[in-house]
Amino acid sequence: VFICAKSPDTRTYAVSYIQQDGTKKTVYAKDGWNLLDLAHSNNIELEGACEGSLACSTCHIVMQKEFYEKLEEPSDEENDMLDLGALLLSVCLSGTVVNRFKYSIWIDRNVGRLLGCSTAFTLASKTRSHALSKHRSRLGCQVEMSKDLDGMTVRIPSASRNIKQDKM
Amino acid sequence: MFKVAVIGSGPAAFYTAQHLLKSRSNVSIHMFEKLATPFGLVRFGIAADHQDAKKVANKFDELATHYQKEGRFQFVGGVEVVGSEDADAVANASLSQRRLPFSLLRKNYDVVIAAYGAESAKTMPLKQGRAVSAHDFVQWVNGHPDSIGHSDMFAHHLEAETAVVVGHGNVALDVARVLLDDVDSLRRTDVPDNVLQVLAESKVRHVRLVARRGPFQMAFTAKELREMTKLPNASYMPNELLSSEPYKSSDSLPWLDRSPKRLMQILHGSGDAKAIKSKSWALDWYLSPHQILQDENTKSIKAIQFQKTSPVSSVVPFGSKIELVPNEFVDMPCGLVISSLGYTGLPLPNCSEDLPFDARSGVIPNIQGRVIDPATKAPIEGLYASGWIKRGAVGVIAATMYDAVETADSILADLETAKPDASKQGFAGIQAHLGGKAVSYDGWKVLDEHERKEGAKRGKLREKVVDLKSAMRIIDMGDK
Ligand SMILES: Cc1cc2nc3c(=O)[nH]c(=O)nc-3n(C[C@H](O)[C@H](O)[C@H](O)COP(=O)(O)OP(=O)(O)OC[C@H]3O[C@@H](n4cnc5c(N)ncnc54)[C@H](O)[C@@H]3O)c2cc1C
Ligand code: FES
Repeated sequence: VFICAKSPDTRTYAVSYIQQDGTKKTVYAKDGWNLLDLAHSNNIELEGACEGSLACSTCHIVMQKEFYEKLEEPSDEENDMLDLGALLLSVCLSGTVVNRFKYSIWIDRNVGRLLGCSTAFTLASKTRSHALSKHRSRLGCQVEMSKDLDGMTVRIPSASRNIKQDKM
Repeated sequence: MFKVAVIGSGPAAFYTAQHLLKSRSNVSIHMFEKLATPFGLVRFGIAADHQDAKKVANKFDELATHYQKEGRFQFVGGVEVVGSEDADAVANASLSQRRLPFSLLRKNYDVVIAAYGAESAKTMPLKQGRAVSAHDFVQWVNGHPDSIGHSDMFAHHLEAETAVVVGHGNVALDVARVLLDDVDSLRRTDVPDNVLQVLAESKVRHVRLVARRGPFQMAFTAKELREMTKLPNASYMPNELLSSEPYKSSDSLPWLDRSPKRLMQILHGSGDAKAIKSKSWALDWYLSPHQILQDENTKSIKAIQFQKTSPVSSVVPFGSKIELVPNEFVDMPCGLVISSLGYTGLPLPNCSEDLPFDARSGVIPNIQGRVIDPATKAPIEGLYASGWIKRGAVGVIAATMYDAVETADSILADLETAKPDASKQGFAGIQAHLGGKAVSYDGWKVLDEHERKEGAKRGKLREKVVDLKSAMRIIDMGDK
């Protein structure tokens, strides 16, 4: 159980979460805390269905590329799970360019595709590569805080809310 | 208070409920489940060696406990929601499973959410012979009440040395793992004792997973496929198709999507011919099941006959809609055939009119979770769908979660402009029709504790009470 440093006095590293409703919350973490536990100890909603055991991908977060690159490459096991979350990345970051209707089909197709059973959808791959140029997915339960990540912002993807266009 | 009824208690039901309860304080939920136990496929589908994936039940438990205390959540177990035409059956229902007409829910609740899953196995059309269904196998290993008494049947099936599993999805891998892995790896889990006994006696040594379509259509997730390649007792025997074009190198196929690409990489990186283990497994493609061949005297299965297929197009066959042409027949020797062609949804029992159903796709027609009249396409007020019965039987829990949030968001948006209907009585309006006590969440906790205790005695997580009547008895004794 982590006890969170609520006041900036005892702060070590700052992390901002862009939550599912688009609002930003900045919290403080100590060395070695992972982003899932950090979120939970600060009442930030990030699902973590398998309690951090790399079996669900519901703790999917989106990082800025510059911070992502400071970390070691995710393990094969994490990458396997990220396959499932990866398409949601594009959904979340490009919610503003597709209208609700297409957006919903898009999720449907891609969710179907999580099991490899759907056809390619060009809009999805185009916007995805656009999104991928600046952002990278990780699993929150696998990312540990360190000096390198101080000051970073992460986004918690939301599958169906109207996405506000805010920069991260 | 808005009164909300949810049909089913799997991940879709719980995630929809969670989102509603957290977002609004004037919503109260009753969750109707036909079995005595909550959590749907988390308990009865997810493989026993995937206990990490089953941990999501802890979240659902927290939610139920929290909101029950607040008086806004109630589990109503052992109550099957059925069509209104089934009134006689409702009156005569046995005590262990009560039935509740759907129309009564509609009458007494502001919002009704169908989240009852997609529980029926797609069957494999064969000219001759019948395959065992992966659905039945999985239910048996997971101690589903419908599988009671199936151990003898499976003991007989597992006398075969070679098993052919038709279908390239995760459930096929779940089945293959149970067949190939050492039974000791399951002893500490929640697989019922009598199932473990049968598995310990299993003669199965080789499993071939066969699909009608090609390598780029595999519907495995990477995690499950990688797990297969790491089984301690079973070696992967590479298929030569993968050393031919265009499957030889996935790296040269930049347009190949990330998921199929990873699957190919996993396969290309595995298969160590030197390390021969006691068991083995293989993948086969482009084979369409035709018939099961039996020994004329003993009637035991000796082979499955396939018709070979090949893709029509000469470009790389990618995407689900590949066209295949049939070629010659081939026999694959085996003693057991298991079909794993996926699941499909069904309408509520004897419910044809009140709740629309699209028989072709096996889902309740809906737009973003709002159930629509199939003729006019207009949403039907107060009626929603979530999870596998809404989207079809694909997707892991994470996908079901996102899907449930979509439905909950539609409901929340509709509630913005609605007022609770004073004429809706909620549970008070249906209690009389239940003709006795249903299983409450506390009742489930009694059973849960019983199962864990029995499990602890045996050094395992839990010993499931498979028989519904026994479950009800234990609950009745403990839940005063
Ligand atoms: C064999 C198998 C293995 C899987 N393994 C994994 C895994 O390892 N990891 C993963 O993430 N996902 C896995 N999944 C997928 C996951 O189980 C689904 O995404 C999820 O369960 C779908 O949720 P649901 O609530 O729509 O349906 P379900 O979980 O099926 O829940 C439906 C509930 O409704 C109840 N019900 C049905 N009819 C009625 C009625 N008439 N009245 C009242 N109640 C009713 C049922 O008893 C059940 O409890 C697996 C699926 C299967 C089939
Ligand atoms: S919490 Fe399940 S993968 Fe991170």
